[in-house]
Amino acid sequence: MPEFVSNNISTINFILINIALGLSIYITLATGLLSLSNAGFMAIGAYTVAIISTQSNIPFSVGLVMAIALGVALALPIGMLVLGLRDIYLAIATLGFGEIVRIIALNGDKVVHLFSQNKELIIFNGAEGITLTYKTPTVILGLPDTTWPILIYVMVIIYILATLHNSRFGRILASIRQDETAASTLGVNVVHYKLLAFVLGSAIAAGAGALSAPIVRVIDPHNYVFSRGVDILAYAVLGGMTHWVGPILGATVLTSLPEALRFLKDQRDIVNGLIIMLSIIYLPAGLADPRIWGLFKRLVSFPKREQVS
Amino acid sequence: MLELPQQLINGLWQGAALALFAMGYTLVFGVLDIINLAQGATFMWGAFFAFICVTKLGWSLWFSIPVAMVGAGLLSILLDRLAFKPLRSLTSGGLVLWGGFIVLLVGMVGKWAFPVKTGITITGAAVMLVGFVLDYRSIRPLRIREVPHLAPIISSIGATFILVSLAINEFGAQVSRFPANLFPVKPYHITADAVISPIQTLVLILSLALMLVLSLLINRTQMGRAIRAIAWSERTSRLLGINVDYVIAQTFFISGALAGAAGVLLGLAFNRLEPTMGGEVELAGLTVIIVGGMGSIGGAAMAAFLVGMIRVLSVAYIDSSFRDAFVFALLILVLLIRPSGIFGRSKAVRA
Repeated sequence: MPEFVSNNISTINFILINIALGLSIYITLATGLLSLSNAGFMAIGAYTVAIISTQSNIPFSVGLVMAIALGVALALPIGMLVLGLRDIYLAIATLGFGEIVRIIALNGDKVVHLFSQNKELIIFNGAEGITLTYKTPTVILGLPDTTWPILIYVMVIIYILATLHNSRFGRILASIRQDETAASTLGVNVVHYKLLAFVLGSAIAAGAGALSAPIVRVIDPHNYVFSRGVDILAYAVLGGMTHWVGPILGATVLTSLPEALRFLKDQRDIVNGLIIMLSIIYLPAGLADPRIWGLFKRLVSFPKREQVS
Repeated sequence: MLELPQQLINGLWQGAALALFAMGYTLVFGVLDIINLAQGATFMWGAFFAFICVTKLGWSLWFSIPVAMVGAGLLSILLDRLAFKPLRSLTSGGLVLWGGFIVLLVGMVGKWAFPVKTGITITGAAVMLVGFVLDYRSIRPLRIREVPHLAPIISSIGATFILVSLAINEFGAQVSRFPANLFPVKPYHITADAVISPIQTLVLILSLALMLVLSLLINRTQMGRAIRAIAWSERTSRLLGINVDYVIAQTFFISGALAGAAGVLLGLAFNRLEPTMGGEVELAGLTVIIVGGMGSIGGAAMAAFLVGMIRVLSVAYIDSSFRDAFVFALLILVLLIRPSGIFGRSKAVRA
C-alpha cells in the first residue's frame, strides 16, 4: 500500500461513503424533493448488517444485499405515503421518519421482548449500540479489503447516475424539479418518477450505511441523528444539486477539510453551518456550477494571454 | 405512575409553553411562507440569555425574563438578515453584514489571547452593525431573487448549527442550572393528590398572558394589521405603502421573543439548560404547527395543548423513551390525512 493511502485510509473510506450518501440525497434533490430521511435509511442499512453479522454466520456480501433490499422494501410504502406532500411538509414527514428509525433502534430490544419468549435477548443494545468484532483487513492490490467494496459501490452508483443524467429518466427528473405542473401537463407521471427517485436514493443510503458498518464498527443510534442527515445535505448543497459531480465534490471537500485543517476540528459544526449558509445564499448552484468552471478556465488561461501580448 | 389529574396539569403547563414557541413559528410561516428551523436555537439562546442575566449579572428573575425575550427577539431579526433576507434580495449591506458575522465568529471561537479576542469580536460586531444599517437603508438591492422552496429550510438548518455550536463554546455541552433558591418549591394543592409547583404556575400564567398579548397585537393594532396584510399579499402591501422590510423585522422580533420566553420558562421549570435543548422542542413545535394548520396562530395554540398532553401521557402511561415516537406518529398521521391541519383554515384567513 502506498504510504499516503495507508496513512489516510480511514479518511479515504469516509470520503467514499460520504460520496455515496451525498449521491443518495442528490437523486431526490435533483427531482426537487427535500427528503431528510437518508440518515434513517443509512441506519437501517448499518443495523441490518450489524445484526446479521452478530446474530448469524451469513457473509457480509449477502448482508449488504439484504440491507439494500430492506431499504427498498421500506422506501416503497413510505414513499407512496409521503410523496404526495409538498416541499416543506415532505421535509418534515421524512424528518419524522428518520427520528422514528432512531427511536426504534434505541428501544429495539423493548419491542423484541414484547414478542419474544427470551427476555434476556439483546439485539439492538440500546444507546450503546452493536459492536462488531475487529478483523485485520488484508491488502489486495494496494487497498484493504474493507475499502474495495465501498470503492466499487461508489463507482457503480456514479456509473448509474451518469448514465441516467443524460437519459430520458434524468431529464424527466430535472423537469419535475423545475416545474412539476408543467412536467405533468407534458404527460410525465410525476408521482411515479418521484417514487422511483426516492426509492433509488433510499437504497443508495441503505447500501452506504451497510458498507460503513465494518469501518465504524460501533453501530449506535447516535450515529444517525438529525445532524448526520444535515451533514449529508451539506455535501449536496455545497457541491450543487443539478449535476452528479456536485455531491462528489461536496463530500470530498467537506470530509477532507477537517483533516486538512486540524485546528478547526472542534469547530466542525460551525464551519459546516457556515458552508451550508454561504453556499445556499451566494453559490446556489454549488461548486459544480458551470459559471464557476467558466471563471476557473478564464483565470487559468489568463497568464497565457499576457505572454502573447 | 401518577394519577390522571396530575398528568393533565403537567400536560397543561407544558402545552402552554409549547404554544408560545409554536405561535412564533407559525407567525413567520404565515407572513413569509418559510419555516424557520432555527427557531429552536433562538429558544435555547433565550434560556441562556436569562441564565447569564441571573447568574453572571446577578439580576432578578423578573427583570431577566423580559431582557431574555428582547435578546431572543433581536437574535431572531439578525437571523432573518443573515439567513433569509439574502435569499429574498441581495444587498451590498447584506454582504458587509455577512463579512462582519464571519469576523465575529472567528473572534468568538478562535483561541486568541485576551485583548486580541475582544478586539476581533468587537470589530466583527461593529462591521455587522454598519452592514445592518446599510442593508436596512438600501433602496435598490443588487438582485431580487425568486426564493427556491428548499433554500430557506437549508439555510436555517445551517444557522441552527452555528448557534448551537456557539452555545456549546460559551457554556459547554453539559447541563447548566439556575440557582436552586430562585423559587419556592412548596407545591399548591389543587385536589387531594394533584399538585402544581409555583414555577409551573408561573409558566402557565405567563404563557397564557403572552398568548393574549399576541392575539391583541395581531388583531387589534396597526402593526398586526400590517402583518396580516403582508401575509395576504406582500406585493399589494408594498403598493399600499406598508414598509414591508420593517414589518418583517417586527414579525421576526415577536417570533423570537416568544421562542425566548418559552425557552426561559421551560428552562426554569425543568431547571435544565443545555445547548441541544432546542432540537427536541423544535420537533414538537413542528408537529404543533402542522397539526394546528400552518400559519394559523389559534390553531397552533390549541394543537400545542394537544401535543403537550400526548407527550405527558405517553411518558406517564407507556414508556418515556417512546414519547417522541408518538409525537411523530401524530405528525405523520396528520400530514397524511389532513395536511392543512386539524385546526387549519384556508390560506386566505391565516395569520
